[in-house]
Amino acid sequence: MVFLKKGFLLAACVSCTVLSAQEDGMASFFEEEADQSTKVIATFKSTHLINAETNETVKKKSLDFRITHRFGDIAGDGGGGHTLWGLDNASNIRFSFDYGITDKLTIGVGRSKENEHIDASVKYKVMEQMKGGFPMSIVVFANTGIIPRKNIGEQFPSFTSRLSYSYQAIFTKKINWRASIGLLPTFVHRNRVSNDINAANGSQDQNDLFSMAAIGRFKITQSLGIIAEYFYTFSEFRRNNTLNPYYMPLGVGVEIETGGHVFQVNFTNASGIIYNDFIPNSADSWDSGAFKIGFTISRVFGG
Amino acid sequence: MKKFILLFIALSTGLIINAQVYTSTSSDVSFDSKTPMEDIYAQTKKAKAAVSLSKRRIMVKIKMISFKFEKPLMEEHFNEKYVETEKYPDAKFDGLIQGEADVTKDGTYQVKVKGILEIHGVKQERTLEGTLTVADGLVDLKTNFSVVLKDHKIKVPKVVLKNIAETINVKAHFVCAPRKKQ
Repeated sequence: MVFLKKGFLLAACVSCTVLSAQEDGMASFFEEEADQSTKVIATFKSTHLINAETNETVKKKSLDFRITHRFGDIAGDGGGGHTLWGLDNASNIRFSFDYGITDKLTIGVGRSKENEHIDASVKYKVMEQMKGGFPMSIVVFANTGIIPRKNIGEQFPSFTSRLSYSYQAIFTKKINWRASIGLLPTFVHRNRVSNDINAANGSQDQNDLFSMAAIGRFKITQSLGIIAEYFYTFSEFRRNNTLNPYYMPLGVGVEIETGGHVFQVNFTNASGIIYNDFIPNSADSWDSGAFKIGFTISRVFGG
Repeated sequence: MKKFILLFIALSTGLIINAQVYTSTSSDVSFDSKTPMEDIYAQTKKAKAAVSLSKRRIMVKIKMISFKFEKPLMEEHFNEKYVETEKYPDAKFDGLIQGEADVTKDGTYQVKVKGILEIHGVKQERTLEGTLTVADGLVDLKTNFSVVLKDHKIKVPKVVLKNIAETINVKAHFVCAPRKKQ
């Protein structure tokens, strides 16, 4: 009898197991590859933050037309009511076209007012942040700039002296739907630099400059976000230089997306828009009110 | 004792046969939004379905990120702004076949399936109509239904209000085969 009871118990246990295994037969099908990692998308809304590049590239066969505008200084010597707080002036305007050869590879050309700088760039996604996988995006960027303006006072002894190059690695991470951050080690090489000396420490300007940028975005709603970027340029020549003042480029702004447009209003002390201009030369300071209202309009075609 | 064991074996085998689960081997889910301004179409072949004819239960799960659009920017906006894929990665349906028809037998049935449809993290009780075909050991499911964006708290910004329909038409087709034991 005891044996029989045990048998019962065993049978009950086994049939329970069978039952529950069958119960799971439907749900468990969906659990397979549940943790399959997926690409993290839209770390930033656009290929550029304010001046900094982001990890985003233009999608395949799409063209991003972009107008980047910087008004004059809001306050300081060139600002104030007489220039309607800089709105009368355009310190810089850049038109650019960026085209996606593949989803990972973008090429672009642009033309800035400052220095009449023409630039050609290439950007490539090396690694993408994955949900449940690789923790960040890694993108590389390089450009060549040429200054075609008149050679006043033999400033440019040769054609090559008009050229400059930027190289950048872009590490970004989307923390959640609201917050994205990035760190951008940037290297700028200019073929020609002035012979000026910084009286404060006797250092000379360098052809090679290294700058580390931090970028971030915080979304308020799905279509509206606050953005900021800061470049710290490592240069003795640019420290406490009274003759050629330099202030670390800092920009903050608001970004609005409507359909295929991204519209942005920002404040920055940099007048340059491309690295080749603003990493070596950002002579205006936030403290003296010499920051500018800027806006960027980006329109993506074919995307 | 022997009788018990025999009974047990008979019972449990019966259970296993009865509770046969069919799982999708191919799937095609698409939706479209039609407005005078713009027609939007997206499709995925990565949706999954499981059917138990004996329990009259149908379950479906779709990874929202797997929907492919004509324009990549639409796809990004769909995931990033409208259905918020990161917060709500899947659309789900879990329902029971209504009516009296014995769907365990071969045949084609017009069925109503009552259950919970979850999109954008919002659950709605729905009765979806479709065709269920049982033949050659396969289960074929077809359905057309509509999804009202408001019902699932999917917000569309005013500027693109004219480009996106308030009601989205969904088409789904699954072919399911007996699930192999693991």
